[in-house]
Amino acid sequence: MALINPKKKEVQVKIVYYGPGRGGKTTNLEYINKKFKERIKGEMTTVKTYGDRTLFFDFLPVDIGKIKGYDIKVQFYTVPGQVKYNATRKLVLRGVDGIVFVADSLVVRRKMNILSLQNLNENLSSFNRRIFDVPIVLQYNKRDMEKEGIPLLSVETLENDLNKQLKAPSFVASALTGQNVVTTMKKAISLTVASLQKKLELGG
Amino acid sequence: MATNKDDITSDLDNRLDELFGEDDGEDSFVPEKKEKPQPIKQSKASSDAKEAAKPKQKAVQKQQPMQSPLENLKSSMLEMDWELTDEVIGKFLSEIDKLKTKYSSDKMIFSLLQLHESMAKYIRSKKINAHPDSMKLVHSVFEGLDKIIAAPNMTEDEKKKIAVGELKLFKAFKQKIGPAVKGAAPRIEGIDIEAIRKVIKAELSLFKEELLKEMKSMRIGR
Repeated sequence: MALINPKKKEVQVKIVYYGPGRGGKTTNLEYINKKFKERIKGEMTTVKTYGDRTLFFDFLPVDIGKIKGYDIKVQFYTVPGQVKYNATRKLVLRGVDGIVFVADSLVVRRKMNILSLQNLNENLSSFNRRIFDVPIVLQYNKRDMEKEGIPLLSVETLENDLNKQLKAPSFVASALTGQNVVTTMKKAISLTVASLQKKLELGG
Repeated sequence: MATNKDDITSDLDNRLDELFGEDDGEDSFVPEKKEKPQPIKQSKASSDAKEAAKPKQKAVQKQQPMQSPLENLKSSMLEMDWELTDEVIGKFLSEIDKLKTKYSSDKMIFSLLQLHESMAKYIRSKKINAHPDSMKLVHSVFEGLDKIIAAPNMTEDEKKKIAVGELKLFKAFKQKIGPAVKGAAPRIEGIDIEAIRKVIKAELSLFKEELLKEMKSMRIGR
């Protein structure tokens, strides 16, 4: 849950980038960090143990500034995608306020996307939360691979596989080129803060 | 309340635009509608881009009329990246078998497939405890294979260069993990480490029991 400090008028929001391994979650955060380093007043921390794989998590704090008198701080996390790191994923999901599900558009990754979304659902259930109640944005990443002649899943297929029931906002994207990376993030922040404001009476 | 909510959302959206607005170039591709979340529809820009890409795609299709012979191998390799089960690794190994038959006359391709096979067997024996660089090497060997197979006119020297490069990486990896890559259980000149472990464990539990008894008797003695 978001941390709110009524005295200091501070709200801290946690948004987690979730999805299958090698799907581009870290690349999303890296893009945001590189592009807006000067403005976001935070520093990206990547906890890695071996090689170039995320074995623990990436963390990027972003200071949004004052909205209606409240200082809004957003913390972005990524989780390791590989199945074997479910304990870490669960840990990072604890107290999540919003989710960006980064799906891999490659045809060969179709099953992994579905499994990962199921895994997200299961992990949220373990915290007694429903996937339908958490603000979520879907991102269909790696669309740039189409230019390389690599077979991609059609947007319709991805929507059908992942978003048929969720009916969440979704974006085609390329974390590598930056296409829709910021739009995805903005939508996630906007949805998450909007979902919190009623509970926290942010407006009142 | 609704007005308040709208105020906050619009304030927030304005702030987000202030902070991140400059990135609109790439983001103009977005087909998002503001009212309520909608499933993705291709914007005009994107469909134009798609149209523009069509001739290119056709050209690619012309150059590669057949599916790559490595397609199934790649698919099971990516599955391994996601989940290390016997079933998934088995699929990868059986694909290697098929390719070994197909490329039995090509020494370089065959040796790269053998490297893949060794790596897969090692990963199968270690599963999630396999060295984190294992899959990295599997990907690297795959890239080497892909390069060779995608270029049928590649000279033997060029092929050799790729194969030798991968072999060097494999050797370095073997050194990193010690003898485990052979897939054998740790044995020293016929001594079964597992059997020794059992003996030590039994001895330790006996020792623990005796120690507890001794401590109890000391307390009673007081």
